[in-house]
Amino acid sequence: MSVAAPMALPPAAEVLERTRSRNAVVVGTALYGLAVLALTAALIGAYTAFRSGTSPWPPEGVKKENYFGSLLLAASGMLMITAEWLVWSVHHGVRRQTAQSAGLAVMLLAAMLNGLLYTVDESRFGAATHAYGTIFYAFMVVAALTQLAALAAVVAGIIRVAGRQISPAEPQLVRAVSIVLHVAALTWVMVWSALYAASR
Amino acid sequence: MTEARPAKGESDLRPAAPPSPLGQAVVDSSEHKVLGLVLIGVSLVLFLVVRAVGPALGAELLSAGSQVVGGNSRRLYSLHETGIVLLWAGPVWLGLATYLLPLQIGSPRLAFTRVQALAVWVHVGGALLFLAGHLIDPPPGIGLTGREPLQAPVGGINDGTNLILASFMLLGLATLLAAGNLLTTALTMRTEGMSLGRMPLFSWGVVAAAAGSLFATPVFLASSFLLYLDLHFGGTNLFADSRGADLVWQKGLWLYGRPEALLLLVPALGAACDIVVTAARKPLGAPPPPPIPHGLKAKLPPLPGLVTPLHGHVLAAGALFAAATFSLLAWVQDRRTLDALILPTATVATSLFAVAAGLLVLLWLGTLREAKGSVRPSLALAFVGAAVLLGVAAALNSLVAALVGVHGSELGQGMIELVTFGVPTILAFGALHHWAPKLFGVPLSATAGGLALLASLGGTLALGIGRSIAGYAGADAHAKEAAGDERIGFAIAQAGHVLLLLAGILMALDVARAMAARRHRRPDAADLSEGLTLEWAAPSPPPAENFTELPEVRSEAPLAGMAKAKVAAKPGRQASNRKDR
Amino acid sequence: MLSAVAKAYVVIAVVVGAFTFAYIDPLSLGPGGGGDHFGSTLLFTTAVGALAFAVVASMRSVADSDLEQPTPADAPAPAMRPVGNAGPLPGSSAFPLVAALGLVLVGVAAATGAPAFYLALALLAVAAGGWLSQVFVEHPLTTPRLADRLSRRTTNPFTYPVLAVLLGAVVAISISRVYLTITEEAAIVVSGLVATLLFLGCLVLAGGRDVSRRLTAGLAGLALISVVGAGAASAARGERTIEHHAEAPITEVHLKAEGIQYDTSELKLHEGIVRFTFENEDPKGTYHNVGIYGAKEAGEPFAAILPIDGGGTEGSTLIDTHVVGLQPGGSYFFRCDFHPAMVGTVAVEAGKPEAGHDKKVKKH
Repeated sequence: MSVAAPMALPPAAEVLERTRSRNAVVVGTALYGLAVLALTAALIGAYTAFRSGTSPWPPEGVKKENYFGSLLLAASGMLMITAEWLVWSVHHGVRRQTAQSAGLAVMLLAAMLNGLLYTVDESRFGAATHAYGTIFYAFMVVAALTQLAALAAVVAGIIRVAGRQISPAEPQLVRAVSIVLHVAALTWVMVWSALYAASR
Repeated sequence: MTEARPAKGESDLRPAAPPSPLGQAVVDSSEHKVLGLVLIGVSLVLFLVVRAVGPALGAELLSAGSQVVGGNSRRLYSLHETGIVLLWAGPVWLGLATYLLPLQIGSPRLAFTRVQALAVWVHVGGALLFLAGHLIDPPPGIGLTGREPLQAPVGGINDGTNLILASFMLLGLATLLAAGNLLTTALTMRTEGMSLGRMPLFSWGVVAAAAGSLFATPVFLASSFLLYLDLHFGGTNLFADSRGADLVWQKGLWLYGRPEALLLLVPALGAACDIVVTAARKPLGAPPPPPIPHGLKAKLPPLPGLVTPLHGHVLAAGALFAAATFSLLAWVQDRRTLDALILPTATVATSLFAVAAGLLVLLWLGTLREAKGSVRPSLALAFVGAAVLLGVAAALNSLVAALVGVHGSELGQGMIELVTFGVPTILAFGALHHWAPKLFGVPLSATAGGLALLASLGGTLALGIGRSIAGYAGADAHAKEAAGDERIGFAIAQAGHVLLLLAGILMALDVARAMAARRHRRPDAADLSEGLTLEWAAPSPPPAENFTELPEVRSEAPLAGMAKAKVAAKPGRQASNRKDR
Repeated sequence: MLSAVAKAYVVIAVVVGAFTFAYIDPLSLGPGGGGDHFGSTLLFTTAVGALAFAVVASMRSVADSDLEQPTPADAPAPAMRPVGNAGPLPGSSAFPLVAALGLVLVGVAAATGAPAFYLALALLAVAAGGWLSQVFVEHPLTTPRLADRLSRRTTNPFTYPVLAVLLGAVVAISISRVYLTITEEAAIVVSGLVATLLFLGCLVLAGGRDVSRRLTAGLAGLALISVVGAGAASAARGERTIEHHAEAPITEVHLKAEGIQYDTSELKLHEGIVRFTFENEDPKGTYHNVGIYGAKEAGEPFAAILPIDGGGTEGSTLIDTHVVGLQPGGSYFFRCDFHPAMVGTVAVEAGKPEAGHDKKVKKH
């Protein structure tokens, strides 16, 4: 799929329009990302509301381990760094590093999803056992959805980089992909701070 | 079927679009105008469905002993009161915004047209699930608007409740997708010369409401999801009498504790501003600044950029913005405010909203007074006047309530009818009339419009005042039977239900006729004397790319002083002095 | 610098932030405290979000460019300019509708259950893939030739096999429904009929050089419709009664080891399924196991219970004599692999056992 001939430049009006619409992608993704973070914050608010009215908290039967939570937190940090690496590599046209960072992002997201499954498996309570269970499962589902969305975004990004639709001449779309990755990472950070850091 | 792409190197105008403005088929359309019309049409139909329930409920209240609706009264209440907001008031303004926002900012399209298509169809599906859920099984409780949360059904959750909760999430998702899309469009796709400060006020209202929705809707989604998880897997944690559950219900789900109830008003107020501006044929006027002695003026430091120029347009935009923000302060609302009138934080928060709205009304009055001779009266302006009347009635009602003191919770319902239901409805009707040439290519019938105005104004007033009277007589919200003095109030409210239904039927028929006419019309050339903002520079109805010609935007009234210029209806033809037909 | 809008957002963030702190009860942020935690969190999020909006509003793509210069009052009214070619508008697409259908199906699955959910996931996957490919193809850099090459290399390799599997599944399920309805004899006739028709159809297609595409398509369509129709009709009619062989009861055999010897020297197993339980009553440290040997190749046991430690531990295994190869009338023996002196004989009896019959021959 390598295009040997140099890219023919489209007419100027089209460039302006495409630039504006690519910026729209970044702005739009940022706004939707803010909405997702607001959703997580609402769940955190519900968590604090339940916590303030129930004792003991967490309820009986809930294991107090935070191994998987911390693992996922570390993976979130790595994901954010990888996202910035991806953006850098596209801006500088280093296709090998683009492939590496994108592949790493995919692996990290797969690992995070796997870790989420483990966390749910180890929990030993259901969504309706107690209020903690309900909010716990809500957190897990929201985190999983953001990670799945990030996975889809990275895969779409890889396809478009391969098709030369994201390139140093038009790098804005990869910034949108990185925003989705950051949102997935930040969501877990917020969930972790509620469930594990502020659990008492 | 994709439109023909111009070959590389061709920089001419695209070839003339075929005469049919409706172009692509509806279901796979990704054109914002078609999608906006779908939303408007669906909302009008649902308005009729939801409002048709009202007279039945009223009859139940008035007829002692006999069962008009019987055991269905709780689910019909839920359908009626939740449906007005979720299926009519919200979506109709979303539809108007989808159609008009790109036209007002001079953009050929929305930022993400297909995302808007997704939002529209998810909304339609969610509305169907909402109706199905209410009709299949009796859902427990009064739903989102009542004083109690959805009660855990005996014997486990039933299909109806499952569907309703799923529909809440779908409707919320649709609103979120559309709000983000509209906000992005307004922020990034304005035409050359149009700064945010020069954006028309309806667009400002939409931007403000979308920004607010971006925060308010995720809270609703999160709480609906919590409720669903809890109910679906057999628990009752969100109904236990613990403080936590109560708070989650109030902040996350209770319709009148959520900002959406007030956010609906913001695009409506923005549209009203634009209607006033078009009627007065001048931008919103500010009160004249106090005279400063010339010598002093030279010594004063220049005021920071946010404060000057202090002209009406910026003030109005600021008021709309403030209104949207103060609506978010509804989260300090407590459901005790339905009984107690004064709770410090809650009262301050809602009063701030009222102050912003009041500022807007003052601006309108000031503008109309200054324009005096050259005001062009229009039916839409009458609708705005009706909305102001409703606001005044609501204010008077609160005053009376403060004086009287004791009342039943039906009073709160009366206020809600006036403000939350009534104002967006009347202003939506007004907006449809005002922008009909651009929406449909033909103006809506003045007769039907006038009748609809009278019916909707009378109906809303009757409903609002009637239910308030019942409340003063001690009725509680969602009572099943009326006794004694309450019956007078409910009788008035019943008349209101019928009148509103009549208004809805008139508007729906008129809009249906106009939409049918739109399919077959050739676009008319734009008449630049019709208004001051960019949407009036588009042909009626606009073609696929919205505009054939645009002026350079230098102020918030881009078409001011251009009444004599003519615009070609078809691209590629020179503008001539003869009106193109 | 901050634009006017960004400044407005900052002001709003400050106002809402002030409200948050006035509303929050500072002494009650921990669990069990008073105050409205949910509301405080929401207000705090709003204040933070307003600041975020201020940042977004300052972005270059959003900020106002030229534009706050006031125009002189006597400037002439601006002229109408033709709108330049703004680039192609996005074409119509059915994928948002498909995606919406998938999402609504997820909602319906809340009431109806899992199958609708999986169908919804499939729809969403189709919509996502299709939407991406449409956006990809509509990019100005994608020439029709590239689009064709891509589709031949990416979507076609998936579309055709998936469609073929689906078609095969539909045909197989339909035919199986037919078989479940008709009698055994009729099934033989139907099989022969279907085989003959297939053969004749393929003869027609392979033989004539001028067999038109329409004829082929018509025949194939007719065949598909009749198969599916027959399957649907049979499903509607219901299954015929099918005899089920009575399930063989599971027999139990117990064996105990104590004092480095088994408690029996003769094991009788019935044909069929045997649950074989073994107890090691010797003291801890003395391992025993049971292996059933005979004329099997390479000295492998037919069945074995793994070694277990002493102290009353138990091990068991489920043996199907038909599966492991223990035949009635054959000569087998069992022994412990740790203590070769512990041996005994195994006899396999044919036929069905009486219910509850427990074969055990006790020593002394």
